[in-house]
Amino acid sequence: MRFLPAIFANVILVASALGFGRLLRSLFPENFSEIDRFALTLLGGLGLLGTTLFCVGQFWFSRFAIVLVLLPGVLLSVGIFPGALRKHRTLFTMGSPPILPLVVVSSVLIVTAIGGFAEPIGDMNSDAIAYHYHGPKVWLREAVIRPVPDEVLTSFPSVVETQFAALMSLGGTRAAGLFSFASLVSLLMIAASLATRLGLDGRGAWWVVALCATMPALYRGAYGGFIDVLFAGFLLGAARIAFDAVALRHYVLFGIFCGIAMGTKYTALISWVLLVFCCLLFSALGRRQSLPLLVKNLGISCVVAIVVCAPFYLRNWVLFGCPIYPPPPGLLRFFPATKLLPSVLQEVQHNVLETGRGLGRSIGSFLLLPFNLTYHTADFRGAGGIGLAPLALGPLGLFACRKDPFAIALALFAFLQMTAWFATAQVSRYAIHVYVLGAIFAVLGWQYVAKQGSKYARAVAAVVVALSVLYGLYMIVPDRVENMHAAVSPAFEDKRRHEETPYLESFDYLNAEPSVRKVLILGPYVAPFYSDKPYVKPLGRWGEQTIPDANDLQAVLSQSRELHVSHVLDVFPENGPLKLPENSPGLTLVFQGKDQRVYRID
Amino acid sequence: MMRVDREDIFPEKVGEPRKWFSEAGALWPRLIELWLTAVVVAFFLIRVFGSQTGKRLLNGLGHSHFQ
Repeated sequence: MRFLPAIFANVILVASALGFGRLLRSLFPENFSEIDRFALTLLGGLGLLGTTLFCVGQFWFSRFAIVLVLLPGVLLSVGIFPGALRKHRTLFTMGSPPILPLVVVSSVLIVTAIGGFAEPIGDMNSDAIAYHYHGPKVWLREAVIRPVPDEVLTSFPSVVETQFAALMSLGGTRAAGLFSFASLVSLLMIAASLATRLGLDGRGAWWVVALCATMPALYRGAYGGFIDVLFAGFLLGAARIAFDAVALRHYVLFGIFCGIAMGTKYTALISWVLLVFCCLLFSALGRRQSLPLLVKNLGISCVVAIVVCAPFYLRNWVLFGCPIYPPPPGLLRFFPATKLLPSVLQEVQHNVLETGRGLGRSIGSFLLLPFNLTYHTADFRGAGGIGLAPLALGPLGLFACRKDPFAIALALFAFLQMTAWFATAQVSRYAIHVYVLGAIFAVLGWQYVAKQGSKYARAVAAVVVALSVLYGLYMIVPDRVENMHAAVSPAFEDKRRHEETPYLESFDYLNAEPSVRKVLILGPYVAPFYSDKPYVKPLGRWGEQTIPDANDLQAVLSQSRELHVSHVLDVFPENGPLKLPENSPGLTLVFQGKDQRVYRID
Repeated sequence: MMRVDREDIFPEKVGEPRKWFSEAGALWPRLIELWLTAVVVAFFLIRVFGSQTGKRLLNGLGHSHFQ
């Protein structure tokens, strides 16, 4: 029973996304297959839905407002369900589905679905707890989408986070966790779509899907609040359209997908430029249309992309004086009016450089990238790697389809994207779309070896694929066992919640106590995600100062009445300047637990 | 000294693809085999035997062998 709201919320959201995606179908090229159409309808719909929720949420973000946004999508989708169900059986009827990849993909999806039901837990080191889920929870409480003052990363573009909010509103936090299933399916669909476009048959497409599903580095971007799998899906959707575009409406569709990707993550700004460049190059070389017409069409696609992502960047520009917020240091020359404290910017920048350091930026490191991504993925926070297949079989796949302009365009995009990734932030999750392309080329290479190779080569190629899949499962399944256990066992979930949620007793007290109106959270590293009540956190984890002119405890406490704070949560040991002394005047201790105290303001 | 077959290296006609570079030649399939084998061997050396679990397993086997 506790799973039903989460399932209901996800069904409604996906149905609504399919309805929104239906609006794009008139822009699809006629020669797109059913799998292309379904994948792009789902991804495009999710993107449009997230963008619409964001725009409406700038003014009104109650549950009623969310339902009003979802409803038209659901109504639009009703008409397409019977047809879609009938047609997308084509995925299964592209030849009879090969049993091995079917079993592998089903296993991963079952693990994802069951694990997705677990309640999110963790401390501020978890991105989900710190901002991916925290932002949506605050937006819902305040009924408006605004960056959370004590967490600067909630000002990132938020196509996916707005959908987390819709899911939380309809089905609780479990619903946001279960969304990992829909995200992963979306990416696997577009992977199958690209595989089919590159000439693989149904069997090959299934193996591409199996390889993708069992890449631990890819899979890690699908759950636990991460948005990277869906982000990769948007970029691959854009690539799918870009390199086959001939008519203006195709370029408009390409622009919409680029805009959605840029509304999801800042790194898409680079990917967008690269996609436009590759599209220009290959369309010009292929002489599919005259150069002036091509430039005009691509120009229109760029305008569309900018319009689609504009709400996210305009909001930041209006609120903070810079469209990309927190801004990279170079941008401060053009947008000097940003309100960000230099110390906060420095902290964020330091973190970005630290997490994206990878294995260095020398030429040697660049040349060894395929090797290191395969064998030393932990150095890129790669969670178990991408399997052997892209390194072993990918080059052969590329060789096999060297005369296919679409394949070469994808390969060039992948190369440029990895170069940009190498030069900016070497975080494995940010390269998921390239991993998918790697899996596709790997299966093309496997097919090539099967046709051209010796008996020994065919056997080793099969071993490569088997090792990739088995090692991937070996890394993925144990990582999700705890989540699955928590989902099926309330007792274990409760035990885990008590063990892994910092200061849970205080939050339980504050959430249950009716006299609590607003909580003052003194520790910068305390996760306010667990507070169901409004709160004030004077100091964020990056050094954000949320109360003007309140740099010390006395100043904070003196302003607490004006801020309608009723209770103070003090924890220790906690690093930070706001330490509450024993027996503070005006405060009454109402709850005490291990390393945590709650005071009522008299 | 091993005799090198001239035909293997020098094509008879100008413009004819060299056998050792063509897909149908003998070297290309061998290169594919070598490449695939190297990737698999590197996987076992680095990811399996080089991992902490692999090292513990090998240490355990070593201890039980000498006891």
